[in-house]
Amino acid sequence: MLPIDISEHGYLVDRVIKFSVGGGVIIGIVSFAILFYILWRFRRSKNPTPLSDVPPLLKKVVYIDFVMIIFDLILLFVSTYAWFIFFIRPVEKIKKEVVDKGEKFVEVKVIGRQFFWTFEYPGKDGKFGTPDDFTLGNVLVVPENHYVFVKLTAADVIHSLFIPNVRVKYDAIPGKETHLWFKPTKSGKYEIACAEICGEMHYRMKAYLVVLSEEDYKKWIENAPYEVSVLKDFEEKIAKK
Amino acid sequence: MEETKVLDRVEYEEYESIPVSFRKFGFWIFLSGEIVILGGIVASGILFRLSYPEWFANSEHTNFIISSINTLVLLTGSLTAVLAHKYATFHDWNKVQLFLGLTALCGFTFVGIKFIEYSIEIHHGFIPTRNVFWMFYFGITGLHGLHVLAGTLIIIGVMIYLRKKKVIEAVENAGLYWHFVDIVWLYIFPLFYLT
Amino acid sequence: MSQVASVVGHHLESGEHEMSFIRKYIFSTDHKTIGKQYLLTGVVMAIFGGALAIFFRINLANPGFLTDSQYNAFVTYHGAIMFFWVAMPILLGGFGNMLIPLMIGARDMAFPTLNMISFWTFFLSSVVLVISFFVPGGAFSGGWTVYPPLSADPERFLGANLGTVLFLLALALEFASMLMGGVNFITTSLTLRAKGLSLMRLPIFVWMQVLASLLFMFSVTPLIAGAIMLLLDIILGTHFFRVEAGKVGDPILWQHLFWFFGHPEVYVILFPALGILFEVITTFARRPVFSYKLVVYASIVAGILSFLVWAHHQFVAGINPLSATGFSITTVLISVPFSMTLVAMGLTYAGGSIRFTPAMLFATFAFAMFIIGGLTGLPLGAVASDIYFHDTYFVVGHFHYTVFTIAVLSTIAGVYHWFPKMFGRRINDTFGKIHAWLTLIFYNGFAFPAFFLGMAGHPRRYATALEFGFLQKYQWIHELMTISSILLLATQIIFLIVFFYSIFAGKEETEPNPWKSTTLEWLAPSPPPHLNWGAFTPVVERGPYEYASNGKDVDFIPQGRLVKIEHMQKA
Repeated sequence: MLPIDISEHGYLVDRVIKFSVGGGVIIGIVSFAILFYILWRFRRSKNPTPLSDVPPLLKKVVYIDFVMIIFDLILLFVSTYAWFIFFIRPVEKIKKEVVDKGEKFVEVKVIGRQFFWTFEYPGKDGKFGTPDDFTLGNVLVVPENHYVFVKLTAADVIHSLFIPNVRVKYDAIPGKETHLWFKPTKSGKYEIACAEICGEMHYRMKAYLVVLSEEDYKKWIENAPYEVSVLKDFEEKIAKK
Repeated sequence: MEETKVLDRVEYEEYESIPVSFRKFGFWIFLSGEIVILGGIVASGILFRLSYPEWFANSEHTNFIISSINTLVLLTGSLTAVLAHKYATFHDWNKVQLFLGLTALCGFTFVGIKFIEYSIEIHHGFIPTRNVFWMFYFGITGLHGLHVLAGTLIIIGVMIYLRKKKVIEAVENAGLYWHFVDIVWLYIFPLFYLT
Repeated sequence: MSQVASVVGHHLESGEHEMSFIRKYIFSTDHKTIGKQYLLTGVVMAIFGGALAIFFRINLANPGFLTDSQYNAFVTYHGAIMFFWVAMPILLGGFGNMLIPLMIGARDMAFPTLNMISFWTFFLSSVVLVISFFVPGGAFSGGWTVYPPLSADPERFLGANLGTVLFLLALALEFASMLMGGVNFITTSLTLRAKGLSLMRLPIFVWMQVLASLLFMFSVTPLIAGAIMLLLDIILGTHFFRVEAGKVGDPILWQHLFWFFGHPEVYVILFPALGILFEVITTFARRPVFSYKLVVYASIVAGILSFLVWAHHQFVAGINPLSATGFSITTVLISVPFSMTLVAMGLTYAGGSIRFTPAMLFATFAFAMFIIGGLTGLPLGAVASDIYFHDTYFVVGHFHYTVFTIAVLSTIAGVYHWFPKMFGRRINDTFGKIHAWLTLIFYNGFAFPAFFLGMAGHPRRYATALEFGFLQKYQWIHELMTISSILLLATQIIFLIVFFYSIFAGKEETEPNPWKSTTLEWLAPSPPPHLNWGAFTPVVERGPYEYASNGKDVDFIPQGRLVKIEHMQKA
């Protein structure tokens, strides 16, 4: 049911999802089984006189509380670790670690608007505020296997940038700059949705995440945004699959 | 009109209760809610004052003299409210009405003076949307002023109620409300006027 | 107190006098009448709110049925109505008013006139809300959570200035009414109990109503402050929450104020529902609550903790990630006192002699569905999984398994249970059982699939799923949910017809205690007269759930008995 995860770190989120949902299902089934047993065993036709005390075996059911506590603690542990990786570590620190590891990253500024997204790129030189910066509407182009650092804000009301296939989401708030990051590992075209009600066309504020292979990306960034053939070819390639 | 004695235990019926009269308890429940509301807003005002240096430049333009007069008016109202309660315990209901009436008069005076004060400030261009300080100023003092007005109307309501039923606690509770409004003012006054 | 006694004295001496129709049924100060008035208004609003849901669900199955802003407005009003104009008035105003004085042996609430004012304020708030839906410019359509800047500039963003202002005013009136009611509930429960009814002998129902009233009182007040600031933003153009170049506004502040209230609010409606469930379950399982003290203390702890979890609605909304971690810890841990209460509820059945009347069926279904609701809160409370699930249908599933269970299933259980007491008649048992099973099936039909949509990443408040490739393939789930919800509402409409029919022409029930229950309200005649006890007064001699305690011919001992007033000593 979960959409395909094409990010390097999405598994952290998926692990918490599977543990919490799976664990909940198991605890739920066990609870229901016990409840059904109790309802069946003590229905009036089977037990016309109520007992003066709960049978000792059933009293042990209170241990479910301990199971819950332990489940909760493990859940918190796994979840806090994932959250630490994603949001507690300062962005500058993550960037430094990425560079130290010898990996590469790109930066993008995203602005949520009624009712579309704008993506500001630093251009070939990788720096914002230079003449080669450009802005695209509703399409986020990034290279495969590069970290992507997003600075996020909104122009009018609160929006929320949600990219299901890389398991990220964060609100875009006017007057504030928030951030998120991810590392896509598989080229393709993926959908970006808005996850905070922002008005009439909230449900059709669609943008695309286009993950190009490194060579394609180099070709694209060379003459972006005027060079469209790279993206066109890419679309055709995906359509054929 | 015969008096109704306010008893903690009822003739004919006994109640299991916490050791407070129900009228007083109910009123304190209400008051605690009010304390949270007004306390919360005043607390945000104080927090803003601590982090916005522009606060002081603006607070020079509030009128110290007018607000000091208003402080005296409120304190006088507290005094008359206490006197009303004292005479209620003596069952001197005519004096009760007199002092409640004086308290209500103080209330209307406060609101009237506030009205004049706002008119002067708005005339000088200090409107709620001007900046953070004026937002809080009009918001908090306005809300407080509305509570004074409400308190005054409560006092009048009690005065009417007392013509039929002589209940000491009603006078006590009305006075309590007045004191509460007074105490809130004692936080507002330094916040907006004493700088 | 003397006020009440002198009225009683007057009645005992001079006999009942006829009150005019208006004083008896319209501007009544009798807690039972006021309770029925709340119930009736709540039911009418429920039909309105439920119909809105059907319409927007039809749009989801059949896009284009509504315009985009209609969709958003319907979703907004459905949420707001269900919380504020259905769950709260019925659970607190309705059941609380009807039952608290009876359960504690009082003759009426401590402040009957205030009670009447609180109902009519509520009624006014309902009228203002309905008007706000139909005014020119449109209804407010920014979600029941009213987030600014969308809500702070409604003219610019939504075209709905008047609608938004009236919506906020209706909300303020509703809060005022519930605050007035809360003062009554807390004061009455603590100061007007029958002789012998110590706090630890109170029925769980009364404890829950008091806790709920306290929670409401201390949580709603910051939101009232926030609502005033929002109104100032809208009307005067201040910048508490609005963001404009060079000005100070902070939209996140509203979120904090809203959710600081919003989280305790869900326990404000949960606790009375749990109270109803405990009363029904003990009666029909013929067993006392498993560990009364545990339930009371766990609920108090949960109530206090509920003030410390609010920002779990804001994990990805711009708050400090470290404080998000803190809130995640408190949120996940708050499941502990609740799981204790729920285990106690389940073990109340154990050893009993369970009779599945319609009330018991609804209560048992409510209990089971609430377990699902509680467990699905954990993936949301854990901050990392919430990154994915925030603002998706997983949340919709979670809150329908909690709020719907509270507001509908528990309420209906209570209706079946106390119907004979309130109206002196019975609702047909066979109908009740069919009603219960159909409700369970259709309710799960619309609520359970929401979790699958959530796992797929389907965001909330989307007028249609068809714009996105990753959602289109789930359109069939939307169709299933829509059909189930229509059938669910149809079932409830039939129930309402039967309910009203039974009030006037149902089988008469003259026996005051048909369910052989122990609590005090069952000592009064059905329906209880004005001032409840007539020439008698209740005296309590034991705890509230003496079932199965001695295994003799009767399997229960009532909590108290009625004593004729002449035999009481004057204090």
